[in-house]
Amino acid sequence: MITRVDPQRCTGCGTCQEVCPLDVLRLDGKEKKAVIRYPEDCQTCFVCELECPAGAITVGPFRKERPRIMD
Amino acid sequence: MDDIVHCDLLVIGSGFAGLWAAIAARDGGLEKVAIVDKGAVGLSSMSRMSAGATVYCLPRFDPERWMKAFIRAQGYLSRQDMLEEIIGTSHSRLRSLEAWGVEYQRNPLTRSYLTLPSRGLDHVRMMVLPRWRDRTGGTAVVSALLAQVRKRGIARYGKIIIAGLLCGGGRVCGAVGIDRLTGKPVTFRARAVILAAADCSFRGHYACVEGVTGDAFKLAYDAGVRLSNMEFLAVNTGPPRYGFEGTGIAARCGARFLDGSGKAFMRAHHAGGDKAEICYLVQAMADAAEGGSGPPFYLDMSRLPGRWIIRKALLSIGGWMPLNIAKLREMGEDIFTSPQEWGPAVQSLRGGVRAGADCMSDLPGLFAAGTSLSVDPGLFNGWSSMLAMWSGEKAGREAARFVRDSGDTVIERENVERMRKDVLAPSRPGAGTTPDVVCRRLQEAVFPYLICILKREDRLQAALQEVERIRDEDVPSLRAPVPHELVKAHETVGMVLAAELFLRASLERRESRGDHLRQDHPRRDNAHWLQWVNLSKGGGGEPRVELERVPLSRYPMQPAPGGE
Repeated sequence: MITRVDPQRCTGCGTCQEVCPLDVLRLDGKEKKAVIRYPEDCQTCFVCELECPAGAITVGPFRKERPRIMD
Repeated sequence: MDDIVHCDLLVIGSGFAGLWAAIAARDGGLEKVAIVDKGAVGLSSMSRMSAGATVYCLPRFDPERWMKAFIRAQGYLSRQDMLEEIIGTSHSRLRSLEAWGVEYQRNPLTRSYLTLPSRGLDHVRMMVLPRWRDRTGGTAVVSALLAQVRKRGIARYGKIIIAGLLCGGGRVCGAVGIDRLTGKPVTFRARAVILAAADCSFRGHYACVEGVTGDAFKLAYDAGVRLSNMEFLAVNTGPPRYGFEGTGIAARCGARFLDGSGKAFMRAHHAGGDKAEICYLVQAMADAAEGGSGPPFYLDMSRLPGRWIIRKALLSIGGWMPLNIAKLREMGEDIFTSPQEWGPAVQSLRGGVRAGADCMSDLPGLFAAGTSLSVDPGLFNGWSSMLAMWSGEKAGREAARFVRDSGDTVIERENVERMRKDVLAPSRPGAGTTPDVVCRRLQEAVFPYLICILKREDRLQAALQEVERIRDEDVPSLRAPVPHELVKAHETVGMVLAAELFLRASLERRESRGDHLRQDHPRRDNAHWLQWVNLSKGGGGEPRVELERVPLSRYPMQPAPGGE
C-alpha cells in the first residue's frame, strides 16, 4: 500500500496523478503537491513510485485484504 | 455539440493490444486515430504490470506441433482459425518490436534467444526479459509501443473511462466517457471502435488486477453483441499478503506447494505435480480443502539447489517485482528462506467478445482485441501477450479497412444527451449504496472456492440468485458523490454483469474442462460439449444463451474419436 508522498521532494509535476491506474493520487490545486486522496484503492503496483521523477513516493509491499477464497 | 472528439477510429484501452491496434490502423491509412484509457495511456495497463514473457514461434520451431499443444491444452475450444494465424505470424511481430528497439534476452556466447518452456504446453517456448532503453519486462514493450504511437501523432486521452457505446444505422458510431478528474462526460464520434480494455478480475487476489473490471464486456453486451467462454475463470495462485508474479518459474525450478501440515501434496492430485498447469494446481488445493488438509497452503522456495537462479530470474523480470522483493526483504521477509503462505488467487475471466476471424464483433464497426476478445478458454505463460499483440495488429488493420470501405457515421444529439445523462446517473444527490459495499457483496458471492473453482448446480444457482439481487437492488441504488466514486460505480456495474454471465455460462456447461470444474459433471464430455456457450442481451433483461458447435470439421485439428 502507498504510505507516503514526501512534500519536500514532490515538485508537483503531476506524473503520479497521471499514471496511477486506480486514481489514488491527486495533485492538490492550491499547494501544487501530490496527495494520497484515496489510499484504500491502492493495489500496490508501485507504478507511482517507479515513475515519480523526484523519488518522492513510498509504497510498502503489503496489500489490503480481499475476501478469501478459502477460510 | 461542439465538445465532441471526432475520429476515424477510437481504441478503448492501451495495453499491448490497444497500442498495437492504433499503430496498425494509422499505418493502414487512417488519419485520425484516438486512444482512450481510464488510466494513463500505456503506462497504467495490465501489460505494463506483466513480466512481458511472450510466445513467438521462431523459424526453428514447428508451428504444427505448437498448434497441437495449444489446442489440446485449450480443450479443443480454441478458435483454430485464429490460432493458426496467431502462431504463423508471431515472428513478424517480434521483428517489428526489434525494429522499434525492443531486445529480448539472448545467450551472450551464441546470441540465440533465451527461451523457457511454457508450463503445460509441450514443445512451446516463450521468450523472456524484454528490454527497451532502461526499461524491462512488460513496461519495456509498452514503452516501445508508446513511442511508436507518439511518433505517428496518434491522439491520446488518459483518465477517461468509457461508459457506453453510441450506435446508429446498424453500426457503432462513437462512445461516451467520464473524465475521471472532473466527472464531466466526454463524447467521441468514431467510424469504428476497438475494445481492448482487458477482461474481468472482480478486483481479485492476483497481483495488480484491481482495475480489470469487465468494462469492455459491459460495453459489448449493452451494444447487443455476443460474448463467449464466460464460464472459464482463471484462478491462479499467489500469496495473500503481497503481490507476486513468477510462481510458474519458481515451480519449474523446483519450488514445492505444501499443505497445512507442511507436506508436499500436488503429486497426489495430478501427475504433473508442482509443475502442472495452473488450473490443476488450484483444483488440487480445492480438493485438499475438501479433505481438510488446508488451508493454509504454502509455497516453499527454501530448499532448492537452484535457489539463486530463481532469485536472479525474478529480480530480472522488470517492472514492480524486483522492488517488491527488495522491500519485503527490508521488512525482514525473505521469501526465499521460509515457506510462504500461498493460495488460490482470482485472476481473470477468460471469455470475451465473440468475433469473426477479422476480430469484428456482431455489430459492424465494433472490433475486439487482447483479452477483451474470446479466442480460447485457457491461461498459459506468454499466451495472453501473444494473443494481445496479434489481435491488436489484426483489429487495427481490419478496422482501417472497414473505415475505408464504409460511409461516415452520424450521431444523433438525442442519443448523445440521453447517454450523457445515463452515465452521470449515480452522481445524483441522495442516499444510496457505495461502490465498495456493492463490490464486497459481489466478491463474497463469487470468490468462495465452492463457486469459483469447484462448481455444482445448487451452489451456482444460489450465487446467481444473490448476484441478480445485487443487480436489481444494489446497482440502482449506487451513489457516487465525487468523480472518483462515479468511475468506481461504472466499474462495479461491469463486474456485476460479468459475474452474472460467469454464473449463467457455468450452469449451462454440464461437464468439466480446463478451468471449468463441475463436481456434479466431473468428466469431460466431447460427445455433447464441443460447443461454445455464447451469451448476449436478451429481452426482459435476462441474458440470452446460445450454444454454438465448434466447427471442428473445418478446423485442422480434431480430438481422437472417443478420447478426451
